[in-house]
Amino acid sequence: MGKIQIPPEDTIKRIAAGEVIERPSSVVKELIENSLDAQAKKIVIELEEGGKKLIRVKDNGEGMARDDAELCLKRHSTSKIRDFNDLLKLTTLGFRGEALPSIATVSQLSILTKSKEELTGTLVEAEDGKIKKIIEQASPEGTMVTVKNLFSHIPARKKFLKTDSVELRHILNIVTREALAHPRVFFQLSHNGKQIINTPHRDNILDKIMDFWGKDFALELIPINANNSIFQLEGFICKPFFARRKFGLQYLFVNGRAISSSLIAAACKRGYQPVIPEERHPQVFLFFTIDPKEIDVNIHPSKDIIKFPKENEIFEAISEEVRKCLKDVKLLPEIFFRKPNVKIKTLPKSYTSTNLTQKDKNIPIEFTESTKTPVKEKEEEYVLVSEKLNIKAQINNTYLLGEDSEGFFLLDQHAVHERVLYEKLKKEMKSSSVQVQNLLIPETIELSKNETYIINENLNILQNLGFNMEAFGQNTFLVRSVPKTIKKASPSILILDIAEEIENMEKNSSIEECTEKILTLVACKSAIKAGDKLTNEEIKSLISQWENTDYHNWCPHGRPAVIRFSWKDIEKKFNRKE
Amino acid sequence: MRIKFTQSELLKTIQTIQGVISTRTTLPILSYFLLTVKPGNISFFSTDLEVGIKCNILGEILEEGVIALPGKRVLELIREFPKGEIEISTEKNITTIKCSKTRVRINTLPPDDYPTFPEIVGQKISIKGSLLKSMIQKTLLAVSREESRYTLTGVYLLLKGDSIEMVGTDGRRLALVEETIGGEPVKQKRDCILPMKICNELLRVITDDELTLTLGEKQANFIQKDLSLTSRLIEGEFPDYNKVIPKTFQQKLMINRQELIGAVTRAYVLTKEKGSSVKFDVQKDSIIVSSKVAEVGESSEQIPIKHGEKEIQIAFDPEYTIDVLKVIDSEEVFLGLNSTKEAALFRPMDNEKFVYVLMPMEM
Ligand SMILES: Nc1ncnc2c1ncn2[C@@H]1O[C@H](COP(=O)(O)OP(=O)(O)O)[C@@H](O)[C@H]1O
Ligand SMILES: [Mg+2]
Repeated sequence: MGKIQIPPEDTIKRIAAGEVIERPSSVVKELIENSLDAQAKKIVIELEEGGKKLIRVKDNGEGMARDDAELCLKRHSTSKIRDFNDLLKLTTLGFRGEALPSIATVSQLSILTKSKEELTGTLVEAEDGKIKKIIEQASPEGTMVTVKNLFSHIPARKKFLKTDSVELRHILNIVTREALAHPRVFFQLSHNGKQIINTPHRDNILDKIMDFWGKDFALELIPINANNSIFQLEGFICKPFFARRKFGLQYLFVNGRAISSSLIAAACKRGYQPVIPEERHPQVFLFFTIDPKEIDVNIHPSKDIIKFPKENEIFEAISEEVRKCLKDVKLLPEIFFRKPNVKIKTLPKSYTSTNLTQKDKNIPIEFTESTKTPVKEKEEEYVLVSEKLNIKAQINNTYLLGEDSEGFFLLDQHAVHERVLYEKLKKEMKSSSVQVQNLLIPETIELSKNETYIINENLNILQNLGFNMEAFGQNTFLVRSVPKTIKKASPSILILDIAEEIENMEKNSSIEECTEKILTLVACKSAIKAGDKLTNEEIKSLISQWENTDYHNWCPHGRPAVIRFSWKDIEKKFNRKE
Repeated sequence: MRIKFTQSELLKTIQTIQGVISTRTTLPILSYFLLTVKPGNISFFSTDLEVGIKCNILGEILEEGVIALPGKRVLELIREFPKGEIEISTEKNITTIKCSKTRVRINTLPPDDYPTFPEIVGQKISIKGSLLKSMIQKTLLAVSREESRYTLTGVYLLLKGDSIEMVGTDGRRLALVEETIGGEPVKQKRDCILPMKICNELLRVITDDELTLTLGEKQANFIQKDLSLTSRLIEGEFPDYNKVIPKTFQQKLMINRQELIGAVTRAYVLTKEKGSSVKFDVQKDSIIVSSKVAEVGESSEQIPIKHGEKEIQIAFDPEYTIDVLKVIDSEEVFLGLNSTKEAALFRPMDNEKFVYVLMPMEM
């Protein structure tokens, strides 16, 4: 008897029911996962018309024996679980045994497959869920599944498909995630005969990320890793400046499975909170290893949502790690990467835990640049903070030009000061020691109804920051004191800005989020501006304060505060010999 | 046009008018100045549309004419010319500047586009340049740098009877100075707000001699000998400052100015970075000036005072405090206090005509 069996009835019932196949990308996802479960080293995907006309996934995995090839189209036939206990310690991507049968009912499906043990391959053709043909046919080892005319007989479903390019985008998103989850697997994808993805076997994640986003992007990433009682985390996070308005650039993986998780996304966002604006989302690549017994994958038919244990702890731990990681990057990480033979961080372990089925993939995946030199110890890490910043000049009354042994750099005086003020105000607010100047001539501010409401809601925060405000008629406030930092900014305009920005925030923003927003605005408005001439004395004081800030690479909006130019790069540009 | 003057006269004149010659390129004509030669009169005029400076100069007129010359370039050139006689002549749009052996030709613009200022008519007074400058100095320091409260971005000037009053405030502090002017008392009260720019230009170019101030509807004009400055006025209402100047005090102190400025300046060294306040701890016969800044340090200095009655504590922005102590020109300072939260008043001990009101910081 073959490998595929139908599990007992009670187990079937426990498998979350639901239609798996929604659109072409869900077919691609299921087929890729089957290939991966079959230990494929190379997966070639061919598409036509956004996958609506044709999806073909060819792998060089284990293939199926003849009777398995027949059985695999039966509902709940799977080689991956035998009983309920297996379900609790899942290590494969598929487990429901319902993908192939589901696809077969909504398309014309054919499978050409050959296992190692057999001499010839098998071709199975099905339509409307029924096997129409099953014959011997020559085939290389592995499996090729072809899905044609998806939903063509089901107008109700077909109607919901979008344009080719939208469907293609969904597929690319899925393939990208799967490829990142399995960097050692060779993925190729072509659409209407044109190759779009071609990413060979890679031993480290960074090279894989480069395949998709290019070198410039990948080299700007910041490595992150952590280890605690719940999870082990490795990966990369983007610099705040790369944070986008678009949601969904969080590439999350748990035990090699690409997942989406609003919990982790929110935790990341919280970690970035001091350095990126509310409406932006960071791009992250996080690879978690969690004991399979602790998580539940079986809660959604698409299998990309999982239930975490101890959600609160996970949330706190992740946001803390992200925060720490952003803080630890001293000066520009560029230096780390560009310095030859210096390892960013070496990870002794594989990101996949050993009990995963990818047994032969246990060679550690490195999260660093690939280099031939032996792995160095941690002391080798390149840190530059100890060196005093040597500012040479203020240029264009906007930037500060400095130099150190590695190169020269430009600081944006406004961003630098903004960062200083933001952290100062935040600290002072915490210890209720904000410096407050009373006004000799109080300012009156007229607001709209909506703004009045918002300001009233946040009166406490404003009060803690030094804005002593009194309602004065219906929509008018009297400002009696202001934080001392805003010497040159107008209190009334600032309050108006605050009202407007909070109005634009999501409706259920927390107090912390509003506080952040207000702090950021006050810092921004109080900071020296581009175009302000600074004396040497002022520059010195600014730099010494800035060096002591926590996230000094960025202003509170996430724009970079410093740009580096290494002597190396400059020498190259001048065609000088090294 | 053809004229002759000495290099030193010419250089002095161009330096006088260059304060308002623009270096930006948004309105290119504003980076030029206007040279007008009429029978018996040679004048240089420059403006940034807010302030205009006109300066008459003595020279030998060989031919009349009007021309716009590039300010920065001409200034740099004249500076490099040897001492002695310089001749400027223009033909079409080319101007030639020459002295004994040197000859420079520069492109110029036709004068038609150059902005002009209207004649100012209005209340005239005459005041010593030295007095006007000192009044500006005392009030300008309190003027607001925040552009949104635009009526506070200038110095308020009030003519009333035989007195002239000037006020500067940024809403946190206020400086008021009052003086008597000679000549005819003004019959009707007149006031205006002078922009910071004209104040700075006045400080820069006028001498101590007598000058004539004309207050027009929308402009003010200052004439001193060959020099005439015209400025737009800030429109809008200046706040009623008399309300915020305390008239009575719980405490009237007399402090040595040098000692106080020293103590506050030393405290400021510590508070500078964090922007903390400096504390005044008033006791019976002394005041303790102190600062305490987390992670930095603390300072404390005791200064003897006269007339302390009750104990009171109050905190100020050290910068604001130093600002006033620098312009008070008497040996002893009067400090009037009411409470920790109410405005304090600084003034010279012997002069009630200059007061500086400072709102305390939160303790
Ligand atoms: N590409 C493949 N290579 C080898 N075996 C495959 C492949 N695709 C499907 N199979 C077999 O068919 C079975 C059914 O697949 P599927 O319907 O996707 O269910 P599941 O993956 O949940 O087990 C799998 O358990 C596996 O044994
Ligand atoms: Mg499957």
